Order: sequence, then C-alpha cells, then structure tokens
Amino acid sequence: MIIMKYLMTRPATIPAILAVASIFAVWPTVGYSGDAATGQGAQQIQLDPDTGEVVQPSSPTTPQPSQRAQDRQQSAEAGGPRAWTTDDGVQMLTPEPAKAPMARATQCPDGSLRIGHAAAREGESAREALCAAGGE
Amino acid sequence: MTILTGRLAAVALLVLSLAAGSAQAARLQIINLDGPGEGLNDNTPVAPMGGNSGTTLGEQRRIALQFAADVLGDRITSSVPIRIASRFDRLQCSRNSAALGQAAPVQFASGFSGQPIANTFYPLALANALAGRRIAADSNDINATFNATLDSGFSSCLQGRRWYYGLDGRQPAGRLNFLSTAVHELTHGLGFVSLVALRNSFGDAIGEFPRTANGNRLPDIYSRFIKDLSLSGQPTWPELSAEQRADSITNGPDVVWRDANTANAAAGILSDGLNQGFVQIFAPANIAPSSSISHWDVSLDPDQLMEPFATGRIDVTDGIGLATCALENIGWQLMGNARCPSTENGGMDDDPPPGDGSDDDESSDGDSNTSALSAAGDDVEQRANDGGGGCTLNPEARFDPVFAVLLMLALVTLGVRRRRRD
Repeated sequence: MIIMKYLMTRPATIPAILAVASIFAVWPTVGYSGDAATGQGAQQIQLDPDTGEVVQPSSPTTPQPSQRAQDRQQSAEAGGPRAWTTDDGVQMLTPEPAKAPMARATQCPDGSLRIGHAAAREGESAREALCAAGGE
Repeated sequence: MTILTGRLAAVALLVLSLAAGSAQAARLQIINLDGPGEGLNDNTPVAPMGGNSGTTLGEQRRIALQFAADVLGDRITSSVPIRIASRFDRLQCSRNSAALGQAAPVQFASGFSGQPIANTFYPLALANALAGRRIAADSNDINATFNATLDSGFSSCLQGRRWYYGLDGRQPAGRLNFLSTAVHELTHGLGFVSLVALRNSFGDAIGEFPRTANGNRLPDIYSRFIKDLSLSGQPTWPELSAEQRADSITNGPDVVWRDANTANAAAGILSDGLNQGFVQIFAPANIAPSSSISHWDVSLDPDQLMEPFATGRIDVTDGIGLATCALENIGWQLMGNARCPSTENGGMDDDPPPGDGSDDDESSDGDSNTSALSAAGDDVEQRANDGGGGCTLNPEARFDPVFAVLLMLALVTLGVRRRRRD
C-alpha cells in the first residue's frame, strides 16, 4: 500500500522505478556471465546457474529415480537403444552409440589429410573409406 | 502531454523488459568428466596460441571447447542451460589414421509440453528449450568425447600431427583444427542428426525409425525435413514406408532438405549442391553408417560446416553457414543477431586476436601424456555468454515472475490514476 500511495502521488517516477527494476531483473538473464565452474585441485565442480546446485556428471544411460518406477525398457541388449516412458508420459529414447559417429583424420596415400565421418564398409578400412570418400 | 509521455515510457520499458527477459542466448555448459591431471584437467604446460590464453593443455582444451560451445550458444536461445558431458580420452591413433571425436544427443524425447510437432523425437537439449524446463532432470544433454592422444606429438600417432586449440581458425600446416571439429560435433549434439537406422541392428532394419517404449516407431525432427525428389509426389521421409526409406537413403542427389526458407538462403550462397532448389543431403550410393543422411552433401560449394568431410577451408569464426538454417528449422529459436545462413563473425563480442600462425606453441618435449596428479587447481575459464545483444520474443521461453509483478504494478497504478482523474 505504501508503494501504491507513493506511485500515485509521484507518477513521474514510475518509468524510473521500472527502469531500475528492469535493469536488476534483466541482469541475471541477459548479462549473466556466471559459469559457476570452479577448480579445486584440478577437479571441477559445476554449479547449475538456475538452482545453485552442484551439477553431478551423470551417466547418459542412468534413468532418473522417478523414471525407474515406470521404466518400461524396450531393449535390454547391451549397446542397443533404450526406450522408456517418464511419469508424466514423455517418451524417452537413448539411441545406440552408433548414432554418435566418430570423426576421423586420415593421412591418405596421395599425401593429403582427410577429416570426416566416413565409415568403413565391409572389407574396407576406415582409412580407405575416408580417402576414397574425398576431402582436402 | 507529460503524463502521456510518462505512460508511453513506462509501457515501452515494460515491453523492452519482457522482450529482453524472454529470450536469452543458450548457455552451453561444459561438464568436465575427466579426472585430475587428465584430459580437460591435463596440467602439461603449453604456450598460448591463436587467442587461446590457456597455459596448460587442459586449460586450452577447456577454453577451446567452451568457445566452440559459445559459437553455437550465441546463435540459439534457450532458458535451460545445455549440459555437454565432455571428456578427452585416449582414442585410437595410428601412424596414418586417428579418431578425432564425437558428440551426440544423450537422449531424445517426445510428448513433452510445448512440443511443436507431435509424435516426433526431439534431441534433449532442444526439447528442454521448447518445454522451458529440464525434461530429464539428472541427464546431461550432449555427450562429447575427443582424442587426447593427438596431443602426444608421437610420429606413431598421425605422423605427429596435433590439435590446434587456437580460436582464430588459422591453424598452421599439419595441425588439426579443434575448434571447427568441436563445433561440427556439437551441432550434431544439438540435433543435426537423423535417427533412421543405417544398418540392421537391435531389431531395427535399415530405414526404420526408432521404437518407443510403447512399441510405436517415431521419426526424429531432423528426418522430418528430408524428402526424396525421385519419388512420386516428392514425399517427406515420414510419409514413406521403412522399405521405401531404406531405398531412399542411397538416393542422392535426390535426397534433400525440404525447407523452403533454407533453400532460399542456400540459393544466395551456394554455387553447387542444390537440386530443384533444395539443399542436398549426403546420401551416397553405398550407405556410410557414420555419415549418410546426417550431413549436407559433399557437393555443396562453398563447403559447409556440416558436410561429412572437412576440407580445411571451414572457419567457424566466420559463422556456421547453413547449419543455422537447419537448427532453426528443427525448432531452435535463433538469437536476434543470428541469421540464416550464418556468415557473420561468430556472434562473439570478444573475438580473439589473430594468431601468429607459428608452431612454437607445443610442449617442449613433444610428449604431453597425461601428467602426474597436480595438487594445484587450474583456473577455470569462465566465459561470459553475453547473448550478443539480440532481443527477440520467444513464445517458448519461461515467463519471469519479476516481470509479471512489474507489469501488474504498472497496470494497477494506471488504473488507480484513471479512476482518480474520473
């Protein structure tokens, strides 16, 4: 109420108040520079800028506790994709590792260096595949 | 008049505040998975190079990786930080061939609130951005691994070639540009990747999309932008049967990226690599499991970052080209200063100074094996993710309650003043 009375008696100050408030409010989201990572004896601790909590490196295949309850794992084969449904009905998928192809560099017989994602076909080495595929 | 001006100023400030608060550059956060003294924490002394001020190998790796992340983060918006689980490992390296690295989405999600296209798998980082919240609370969003062995300098490892961690795109001859490699890989991690099966494995036949826990097969958002010009009606991939898609995988140059805006943008910069005006997707006659479909075609000229093979002419400090268009197509909202295609200088405010191009920045003994454990903590590079000054309204962004309070306050004040005047 005090603030309201103040604003009613001094309407010209509203823009200034809003400007100041906006600056303080916008600062953390636009001007935020806080990579909250910090080094401790060469071991880094990551802080989540949203929550301030320590970010624990997590395994990509480790389900959340809440997900375990309704974890309807579709593929149990090692190295295969894994699908499950979260408590709120979101369909989740961890693709098989082969979906993350390895980039390679190869020194080709013609002396060129070739870099890329070429994968070897049957009976072909990765080097042959990359050199055959083209590049520099 | 004075009152009116005051009101207009207040409204303008509110609109500005709302706009600024609702779109922010994506913050790509490097989660360091390496142990003390290894990989990203390697304490081997090195000389700064090409704008990279790091004085240890680990520090230079962290700076270069964060810089690569920021090249992308300054172009897209997300209110949810993007976690990149990162490590440098001793990957395969022989005299003539070496693994460089890889990155990919940790998970995909479908059925989350705010999902633009139903029944579609979205990469986790994008799903988080669209939902305005972290969908998988405990999960990182992108996995990224790079080869630490390439810093050994051993002739037995790619004939002594090393990574170049400079930020200026001016790697000396014989060095491998880490920055462009990392940006390419991280772009895959943001969703420039198809989930279609390129080989028969784990119950998935070539051409099939992945199966959900319910047994349905869903396309990924990237694959929704692929169409085959050689087929009647030029269908998009989700419109094909798995068998038809299996055939289409090798139908280059008729496999294209279907978006018209991207096609228009490409027409302005490409002299080759278009088919009927659409950008060609890499779809060689023999399936290349690591590269087919998830890259632009090699025929694109000038070369693009997301082609499967680097030609040494890609400099990401000059932008990421058509990759920006594809990211926007699949759902990423671009920062206000980002364009499709991205050809401007990196979007970074603190562009690195040009490197000297010298090769005297290697460790003295040429052997940077992971060093002994160090008790001293490295300074961790903290790079401002300043967003590049862009301000755009993002309908998917979370609403900041502070702005709601300010808005309510202003409206109540105006209402009270009007009542008093009446």
